[in-house]
Amino acid sequence: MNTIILNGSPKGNSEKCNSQIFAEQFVKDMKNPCEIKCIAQNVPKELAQYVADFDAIILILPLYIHAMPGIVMKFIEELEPATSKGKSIGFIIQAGFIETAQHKYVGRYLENLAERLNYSYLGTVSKGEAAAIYMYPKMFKKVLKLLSELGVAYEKNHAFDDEVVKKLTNPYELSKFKLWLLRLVNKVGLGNIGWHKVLRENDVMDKRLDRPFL
Amino acid sequence: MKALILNGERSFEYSLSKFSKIIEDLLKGAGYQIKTIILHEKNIGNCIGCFGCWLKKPGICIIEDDAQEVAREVINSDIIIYLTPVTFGGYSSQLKKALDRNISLISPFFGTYHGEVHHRPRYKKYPSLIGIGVFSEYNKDQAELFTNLVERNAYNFHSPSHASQVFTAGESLQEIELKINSLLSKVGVNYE
Repeated sequence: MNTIILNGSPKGNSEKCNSQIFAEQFVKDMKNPCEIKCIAQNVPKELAQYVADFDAIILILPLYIHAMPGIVMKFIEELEPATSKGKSIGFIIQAGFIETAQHKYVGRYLENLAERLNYSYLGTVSKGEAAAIYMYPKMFKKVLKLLSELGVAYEKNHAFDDEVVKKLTNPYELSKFKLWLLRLVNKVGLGNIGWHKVLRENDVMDKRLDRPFL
Repeated sequence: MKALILNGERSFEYSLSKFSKIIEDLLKGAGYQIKTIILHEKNIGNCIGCFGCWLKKPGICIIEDDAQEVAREVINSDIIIYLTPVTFGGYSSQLKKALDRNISLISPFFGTYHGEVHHRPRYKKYPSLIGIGVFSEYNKDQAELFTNLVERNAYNFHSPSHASQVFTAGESLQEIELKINSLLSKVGVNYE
């Protein structure tokens, strides 16, 4: 089974790219690590032709306004349906929002895409609350370990491991209590601390609520 | 009242001008000023996920190209129409990359809406959203996906109301006009 890992983030292989970190973690403990390519650093049509020679594709992407980033869409438009059976494709989505139910639309889209491309669908793994991984990797050791376990199990079984997927996907939805807590956190401003820190560093704190297009 | 059509047709396939013309005529009849932007004629780069529009130049994307004009037009409209070929149930990459650049119109800060976490609004008022998808060949699952995506994007961009409809390229002008008329009514367009 010859698998290629695609990083669908517009940030490509930058050190600030969470999808790249996900990709590297996924292959880290494999006996024969898969090749990783970045969509952002390739010509979409050429990359689409290149991946056609692989038995399987794992596409790792960030969530951009409830769907894939524009560059991933462009790449998808260049893919041709497989002419033979036996090829497979799977997806790993990472996003800043806590609850992975927000990936619901794109998950269904990707399943439909696999079918239209004549690929077996390996599933879509969702990880929420992932935006800060590149900034504070030590705080996300557990997530990074799970990604490596996902990769090891994939190399062995050519499938996503249900137990690992479940751990990564949790929480799927927010309980009423958690929503209440979040409202409280936002009301007292605790949820803004991280943003405010960067706004101050950039000397634009007073402009944070600007409406420049009115 | 202002309306904006974002036409996400792709330069290498069927034109969506027929749909655009019908929308323009109907909205003009209801007293709207219309602007249509054919996205593939514009210079719009991809969002690079840098959050510069939130944290460096709040409200303005740091990439200086035509996406800034698109964002300005969007927020100053009462209705926005996403007009696009349906590609596997989603928008064309032309439209998608333009929308990715619109996150400058919302705030980085979080709030809870519809029982989910979303980014808070930056502006006091946002346009209503209409999604119009055109199939070369109709597919039920993809039609549902398209409707769902428009709804999700209406939540992302705090649209006060939204509606969507898919068409197949071969539908008659009369059928198209009837359906678009119904869509416009759903977001409050009034012909009186």
